[in-house]
Amino acid sequence: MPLDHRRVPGPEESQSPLLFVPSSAQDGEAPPAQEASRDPTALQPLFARVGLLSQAKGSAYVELDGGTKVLCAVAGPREAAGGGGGGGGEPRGRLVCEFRRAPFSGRGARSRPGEREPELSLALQEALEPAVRLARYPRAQLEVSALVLQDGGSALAAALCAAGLALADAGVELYDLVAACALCRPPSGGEWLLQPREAEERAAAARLTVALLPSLNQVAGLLGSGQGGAPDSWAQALRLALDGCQRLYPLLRQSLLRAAKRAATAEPSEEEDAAEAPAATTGT
Amino acid sequence: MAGLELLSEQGFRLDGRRAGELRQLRARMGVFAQADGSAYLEQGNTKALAVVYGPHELRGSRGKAPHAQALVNCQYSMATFSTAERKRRPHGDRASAEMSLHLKQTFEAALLTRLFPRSQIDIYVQILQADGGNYCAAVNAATLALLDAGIPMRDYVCACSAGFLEDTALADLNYVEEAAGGPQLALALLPQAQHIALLELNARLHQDHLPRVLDAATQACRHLHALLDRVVREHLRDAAALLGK
Amino acid sequence: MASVVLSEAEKVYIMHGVQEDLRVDGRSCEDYRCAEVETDVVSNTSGSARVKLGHTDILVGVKAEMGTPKLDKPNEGSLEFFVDCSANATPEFEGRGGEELGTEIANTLYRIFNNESSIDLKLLCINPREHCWVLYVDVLLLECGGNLFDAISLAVKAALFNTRIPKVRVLEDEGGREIELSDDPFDCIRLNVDNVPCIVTLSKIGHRHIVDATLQEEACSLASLLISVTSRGALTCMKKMGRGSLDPESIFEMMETGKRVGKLLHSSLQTVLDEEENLGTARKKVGFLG
Repeated sequence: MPLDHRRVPGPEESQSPLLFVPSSAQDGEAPPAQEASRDPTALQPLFARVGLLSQAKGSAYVELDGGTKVLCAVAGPREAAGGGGGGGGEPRGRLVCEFRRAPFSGRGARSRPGEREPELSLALQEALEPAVRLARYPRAQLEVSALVLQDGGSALAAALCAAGLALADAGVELYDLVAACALCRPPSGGEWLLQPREAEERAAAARLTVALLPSLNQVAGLLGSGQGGAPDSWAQALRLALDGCQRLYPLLRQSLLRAAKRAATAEPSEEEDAAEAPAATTGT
Repeated sequence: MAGLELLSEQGFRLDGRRAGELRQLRARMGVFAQADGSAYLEQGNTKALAVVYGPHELRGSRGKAPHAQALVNCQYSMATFSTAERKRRPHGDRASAEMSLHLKQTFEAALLTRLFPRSQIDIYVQILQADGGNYCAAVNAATLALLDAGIPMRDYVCACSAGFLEDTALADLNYVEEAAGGPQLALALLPQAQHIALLELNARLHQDHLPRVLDAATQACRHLHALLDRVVREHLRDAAALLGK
Repeated sequence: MASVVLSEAEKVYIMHGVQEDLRVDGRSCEDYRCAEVETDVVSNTSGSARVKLGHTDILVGVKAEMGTPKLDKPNEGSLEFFVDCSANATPEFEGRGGEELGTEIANTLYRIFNNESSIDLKLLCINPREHCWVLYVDVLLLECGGNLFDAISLAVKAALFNTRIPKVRVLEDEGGREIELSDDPFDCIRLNVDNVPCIVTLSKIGHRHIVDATLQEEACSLASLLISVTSRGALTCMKKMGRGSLDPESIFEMMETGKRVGKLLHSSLQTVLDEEENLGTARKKVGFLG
């Protein structure tokens, strides 16, 4: 990390005080009682709002009850930059994705916030590509940038949902919306939890994010790692996630519809916006 | 280097060689199938891998390309695990940029670039294990790779280093001898034409000694030429045998 | 990545072949190409291995260097991955061209080793909070002929198997500790690689999936599933790659195939490594000369 060590007037060798905190005290923030009582298939209440940035071609904001806030904007299609190498141009458009975290998004103790971004940007791109009809945009590129304002767990999944909505809002031709769910498996073993909160995610032994094109029933993205436990536990997790994505889909569609209606009924009714109820999920 | 005796009284060096003796050379051409030409070369413990692509259409900006001849493009890189201390990056640092430039200059002198106007020849060299004489191993490996690719050259390019210690000229320095900090000369020679493609001298050397050191390097290059020639001939014999008859 | 240009007819030919479980090079869908594995290829590393899988050629060097443990894991050493896509493989990788693919592969390697059971990192600790071994696993991509991830994971496992870390002793002095290196070069730590996972990439072509795709087959496949499997058949990582999507049912099938193939892969790699180990110093090193 590019830290200027010379400016710290401390002793030459120092150690983090966290090392000496008993491990039980460290985990104090996640009361075990809450974990135990949680229904593993419950989705977090989700709030989605489409088209809230005026500068971007399309935009969406997704917030989870756990505190995750993701803002996503789409720009383009515009002429592909650089590229020129291939003779005759590319027959398919290009999707350029960017996944960023705001500096204040996570806890300070998070290890190296910048490090994982290229991987997640790629995950975002590979999960969105099947949803977009790129063949309709020859020699053009679409730019999707997701910004995590606050990470309260399941950030990639929320970013995927937001990106799908933003693409739809931008009027990009899509095969389907993208619904995504995160899962994690607690270290003590046991069942996979759907849409984990930050504390659960941090303690998890294994994590998985699944993106689905719900009406086509095609898995667009899959990224996960860790100790899965029993041999077929990953398959079980995948089923759980697919089910979760299917349940998310109506919510996403609803928020898209609402945005379209709002656009159609023109500008004056500003109060209606305020009265708009957040789309809440029902955990079944 | 007080504790280490680089040259014993009997005239033997640390690794048991005499002053003008080369390290063992082992080489193989045609290591890879996808490249146009490739070669692997071991000079003692220095191991180099060279790959040649081309001549092909120019890539990237045409601005810097010469009109009447081919553009020779070289990249020298060292594997991160090649040195005793781990390297942070394989290429892109100042030392390897300089080495790439040296390689480019060497092979521009040896290749018949005028035969391929408006095209490009890529030479990529990777040092897998570094034990002194990296430039020389790189040049020798690249020569074999170019021959494997069938790109017309004036002659073999043979490169060898030489040093000067206790009034003796040493040929083909290894890492310990290089690190001792004495004068060090790198010579790339076109042996039959007797042309020098590149000559570089580091550290101070009295000019009276220069002919002796140069002579040692030249002699070593001649020997290398014979060795490389044998490798090429053997490779061709094998290839011909595979083709039938 | 090095790419090949295929015409529609060629693609259809490959797809029809896969449909009939007979691929262009005569393999069936679940067959790997013949792989060559050799360890201890580069002598100034702690461990090294070269794997040649078809035209894919990978060299891995592991270097052990002394470092300080991470704050949140005071009594563990660490693994650092670096992948160099050298220009040897394709001219596109010249300069910084290979960096993107390099980080992608390195991130995947971090991901598959991101669990407690893969490597016993506690073994790498010298004294808690102060000194530990950092294993730099450097992958050098020399030629790519498809299925990079599998070949790299095989090479990494072989190189870790080959790794020998010198034993050190910590001497307690007044006014600090000193670290003393063992004099005996054979007195060293070996890593237990039983739980090191291997990657199996399954490419979807038509309605079927294949393992160990060549470059040509990769060009025909829109989506592939990468899973990492341990020798016991447990999954440690799962990732969808490529620009297509996959049917949920086919993912379940692919996971099963991956586990089955992965177990076989592990056992055959282990046999080869053990055989080579038993030859000891009598083994003739081939390296790139063979």
